[in-house]
Amino acid sequence: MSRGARSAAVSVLLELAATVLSTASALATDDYTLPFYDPSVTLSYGVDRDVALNRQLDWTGQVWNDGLTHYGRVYDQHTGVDYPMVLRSEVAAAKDGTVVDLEGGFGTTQFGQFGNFVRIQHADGRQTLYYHLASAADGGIAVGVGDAVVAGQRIARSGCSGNCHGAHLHFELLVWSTSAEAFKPADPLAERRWTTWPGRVPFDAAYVRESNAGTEVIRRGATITHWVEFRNTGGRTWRNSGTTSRVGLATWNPAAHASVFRASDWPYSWMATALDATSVLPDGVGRFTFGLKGSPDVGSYTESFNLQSQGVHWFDYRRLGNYYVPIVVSNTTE
Amino acid sequence: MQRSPIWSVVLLSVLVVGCSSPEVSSPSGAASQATSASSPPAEASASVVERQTLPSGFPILSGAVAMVMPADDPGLIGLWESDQVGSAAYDFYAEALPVAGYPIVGVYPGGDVALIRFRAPSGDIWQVVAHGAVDGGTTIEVRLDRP
Repeated sequence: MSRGARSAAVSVLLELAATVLSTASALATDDYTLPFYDPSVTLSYGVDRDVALNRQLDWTGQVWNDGLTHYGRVYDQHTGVDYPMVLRSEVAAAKDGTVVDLEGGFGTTQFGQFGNFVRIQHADGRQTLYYHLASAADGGIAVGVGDAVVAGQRIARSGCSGNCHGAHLHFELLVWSTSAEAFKPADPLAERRWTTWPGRVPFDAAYVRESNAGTEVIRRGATITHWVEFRNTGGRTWRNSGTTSRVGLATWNPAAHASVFRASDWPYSWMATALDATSVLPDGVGRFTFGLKGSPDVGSYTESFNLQSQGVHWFDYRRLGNYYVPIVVSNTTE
Repeated sequence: MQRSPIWSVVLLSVLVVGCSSPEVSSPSGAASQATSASSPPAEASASVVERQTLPSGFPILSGAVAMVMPADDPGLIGLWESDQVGSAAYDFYAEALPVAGYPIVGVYPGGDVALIRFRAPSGDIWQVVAHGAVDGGTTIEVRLDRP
């Protein structure tokens, strides 16, 4: 059986993503990650790093002395980074932290001076701000003040509340200014020491290979061992223990269903295994080894799986592809 | 086994089309949104600056009022002001441009401003730019593409 051939459209999409993310490959860190899950999200406008009116310094270092709008770069006096998103897209915490402030009372698309937001305090002293969110009543706010959040956790859904022209997420990094005695906007795109650019979403993966690309033939009641490898194309380190960024291979379609092929090494009926290695850095390849037990009934089956960061987020199977193992349960003794 | 994620094709199509938000429409109703285009008046002067003109039938946000275009901005093709605020203009053009035969090549929503790049009949890239007007409405520009 041939190894899953990807469609041309998918290849184009992946090549596009690879091109966009190529700069990030060498820069990928386990620090801040992009505040959403979809790596196809692009940049509308970055921070104006020059405070002077009608003079803009964009994230590439280019200066514009015109006060005009430069798509993909900057507009005058802009204090954050704008990411186009359809309304109610998932917004993720860029780093572990504690929610210190939020607003969810404005309508999802209510225009005005103020809008909905979540602000998170991080242990490094910085804060991140997620703005123009959907209303709390519309499911826009998924956290409360005082909540501890982990990187990659869904905290909100995007909207267009406040001073907003077109649905997008305004993501802002704030650094304490001792002179102003206040948090001031910084440029997350320029601070490459600790923030990747173009950056990576928290959790993403690409299929690499597996122990048997064809059909696994399992004698009824017997157990065989199967492994599959995925490349960590996200921005966070995969781990096999703890509660943050622990990555496992779980059943899919439907998500987290109890598998009839569960072997004795599965931690749960719906999770085949955690990551084999202690950790896998971004760009690394992680292997997932698990047993498959021949179900009681002879026949042909498929079992689907997806990666999940424990307690946080399912990987996007639309990009990962539907990973499944064809299984034939036989009566033979071979 | 890795099966091709067919939803990616759908996703790609959505990305190409752009991100229109059908739930946001103008108060006056979508059916009456598009009106026949008439080029905004050029500044009454002896200027010899030549600017491109809007094609007939170019979509215009309902209620938008054409403004005089400054002669020192030859890249400007159309200029209007609207009482509608926020995403109204952006959402209107994100939906109306493809329907009217102007393929969108990029969408750039933002806080103070939104910009949509689209292909004109000539093959050139034009922009529609919507930003808050001084008096509280929205200023809408159609102009030649610029970085």
